[in-house]
Amino acid sequence: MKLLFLYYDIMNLYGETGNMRVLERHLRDQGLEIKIEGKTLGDDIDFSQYDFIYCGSGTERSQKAVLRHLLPYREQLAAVAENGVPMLFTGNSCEMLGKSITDGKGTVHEGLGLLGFTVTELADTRFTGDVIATTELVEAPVVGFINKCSLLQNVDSPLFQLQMGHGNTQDTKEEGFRFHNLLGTHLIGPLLVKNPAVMEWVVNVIGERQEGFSYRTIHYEYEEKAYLTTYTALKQRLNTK
Amino acid sequence: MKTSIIILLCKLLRVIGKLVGKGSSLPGRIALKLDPNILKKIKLPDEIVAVTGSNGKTSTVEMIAHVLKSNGKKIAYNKEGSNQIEGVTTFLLNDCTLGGRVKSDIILMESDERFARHTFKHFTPTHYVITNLYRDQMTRNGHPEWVYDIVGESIHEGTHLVLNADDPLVSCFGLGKEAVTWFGVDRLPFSTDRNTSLYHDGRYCPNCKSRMEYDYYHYNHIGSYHCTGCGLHRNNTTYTVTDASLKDSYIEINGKYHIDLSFSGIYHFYNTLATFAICNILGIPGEQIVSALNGYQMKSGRIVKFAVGEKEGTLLTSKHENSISYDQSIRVAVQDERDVTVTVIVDAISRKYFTSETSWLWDIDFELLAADHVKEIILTGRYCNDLAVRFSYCGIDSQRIHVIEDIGEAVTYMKDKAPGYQYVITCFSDKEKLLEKVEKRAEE
Repeated sequence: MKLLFLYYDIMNLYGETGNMRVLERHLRDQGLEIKIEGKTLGDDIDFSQYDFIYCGSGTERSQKAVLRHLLPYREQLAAVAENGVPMLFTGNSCEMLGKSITDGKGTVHEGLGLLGFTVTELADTRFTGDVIATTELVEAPVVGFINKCSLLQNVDSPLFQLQMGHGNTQDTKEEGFRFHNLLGTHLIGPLLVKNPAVMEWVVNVIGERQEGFSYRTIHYEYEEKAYLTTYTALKQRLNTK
Repeated sequence: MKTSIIILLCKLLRVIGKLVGKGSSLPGRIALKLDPNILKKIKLPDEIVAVTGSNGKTSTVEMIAHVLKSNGKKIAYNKEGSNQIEGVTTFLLNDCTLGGRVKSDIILMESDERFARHTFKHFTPTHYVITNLYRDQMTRNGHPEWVYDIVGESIHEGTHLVLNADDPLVSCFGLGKEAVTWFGVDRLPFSTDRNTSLYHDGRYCPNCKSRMEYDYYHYNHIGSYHCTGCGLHRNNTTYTVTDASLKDSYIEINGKYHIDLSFSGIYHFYNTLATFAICNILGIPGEQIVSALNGYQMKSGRIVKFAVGEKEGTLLTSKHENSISYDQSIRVAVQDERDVTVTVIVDAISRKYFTSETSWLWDIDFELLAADHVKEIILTGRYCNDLAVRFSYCGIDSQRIHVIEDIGEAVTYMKDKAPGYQYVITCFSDKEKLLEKVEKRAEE
C-alpha cells in the first residue's frame, strides 16, 4: 500500500512527523506492506495512487505557498476524497479544503473547495489550548492541543464535540470536519500518537482497502499509558475549573 | 501626580517588596497607573540596549553586563528577568534620581519577544540585538514567523539593529534597513554540508517561500544560505567567528580576538559573539572585551554538577517545548567519551502555565542517544510514557531504556544501578525535583 505524506518538509510545524512514523509501524504490525512517499512544493502529484494521504500544520505563510501549489489538483483531490480514500489533515492544512481563506491583512485566498466552509485568519490573536473531545468515530474521548489563529465558518459536518478547547468558531463546541473518510482537525498532539483509539480507526480504514484484511488487536503499552496520563490531567483540570 | 513622587513611591514599594519577597512588577504597575506616560517623563541615558531572541538572551545579557561593568560603565538592567513593561518600569524608576534622571550610563534589557512591542511604545532602544528565532514554547508563542511579526512591531526608526546573519528569519529584520550590523560564524570544522536536524525551518525562504540553498549549516537552520527565488542571502558580517574549537572551548573573532570559554557549545559561541559585537559597537575596545570574557563563568545555574551515592553527574537545564535547547544538551552528553547514563525528566511542561502538550518531543533529536557509549536511558516524570513512545522510534535497544514515572525512584535507580557518568536533561520547571534528591557540587 502507498501512503502520501504531503508537504512533509514544510507542513510539519507541531511535531506532526510523529503521526506518520507511528502510523507506519502500526500498519506494518498488522502485516500490511507499506510504502510512504513524500511530496512537496515543486513536485508533481498523482493523488489517485495512494491508500492514505496526510498533511500537517505550517505557518500561515507556508500554508499559502502550499495552497498555491495544490490548487491545480483540486478536482483530482476531490475525486479521491469522494471515493472514500482515507485522508487526514491536521492543523491549518485542514483549512485549505474549504472555499476560501481570508488572511490577517484581509486578502482572500481561494481554497480547494472540497467543502463549503470559509476561513478567517486573525492577525493578532491565537487560539491555543488543550483539548478533550468526543467523536462518533471512536468510543474513547480524544485529547490533544489546538494552536491556530483562524475561525472556520459554516462547517456542516463537524468531527469533534469539545468538552475543553477552541472550536471552529468562538461560539461553537464543534471542531474540525469529516467528509467521507477524510478527517480535518486543528488537533495536534500528534493526534494519532496521543489517541490510540483514533489510530486504530485510521489503521482499520486503511487496512480495509486491502482484500482479506482483518484487524488484529495489539497493545501499545506506552501509547495507551501516555493517553491516560494526558486524559487524566486534562479531566482533572476541567473538573477543578 | 508629580514625577518625583511617583519615583519615590516606586522605590519605597520596591524596598518593601524585597523585604516580603514579592516580585518586581507591582511597583511599576502602580507607577504606570498613576501616570501612564511616566517613562516618557524621565531622562533616559544615551544608550539603551535591548536583547531578544528565542534562545540565549539571558546568557547574552549577563555577559554584556559583565563586560560593560568590567569597563567602568554604570548599567541598569533587568537581571531578574522582569521583561514585561511593569517590571521594566520598576527597574528604571529605581535607577532614577528624584529629579527623574536615570543614573546609569547604559540601560540593558533582556526583552521578551512577545512583550517588546508594548515596552518600546514607552521608549525606544538605541541598539537592538536579535540572536535567533526558533520553535520555542509554541503553546504560547504560536510559531517562529508569528513571533517574527510581533518582534517586527517593536522595531522603530532610529534603532541600530545588531543581527545574527546566520539565521535567515532574523536576517529579514534587516531588509530595507541601513543601520544594521551583522554577526555570524564562518564555516568551521564542525559545520556540516547537510541539515542534520529532525526538521528544517530554513528549507524554504522566510521571505518568499522559494527553496533555499545552503553552503553549510552550523545547526538546524543556522548557517550560510541563499534563496533561489527572491535572493535573500546571508549578509557579510562585521563580527565573525573565524576559528573555534568545541573540544578546547575557545573562539577567535575577526581573526585576532581569542576568547577562552568556560563552557563549550556552538550556541554559546553565538552568545559570546553577540556580546563582543554589541560591546564593541558601544565603544569598548576588542582587547578589553576579550579580557573581560576570558574564562568568564556564567551565573545562570543552568549547568549543575552533582553527586548521587558514588556516582557523579551533570544536570543540563534545557527548555521543555524548545527542541533546539534539548538538542544542545543531548550533544553535550553525546560528545562525552566516557560511558554515560542519560536521564530525561518531563514532569511539568511549564512552570508558568498548565498544558499536556508533548508534540515537541517529536522535534528533538533523541536519535543521537543511540550512541554506543550511552549505556542506559532513564525516562521519568509524569510524561515518561510520552517519552517512552518517542524513544521507541530512536533505534535504541529497549533493554537500555528504563521508564520510571516516580522521579525519586528514578534517582534511586541512578544511584544503585545506572552505569557510568550521569547526565540529566530537563527544564527549569522540573530541575529542582532532581536537585532536592542529589548532592549539589558546583553550578555554572
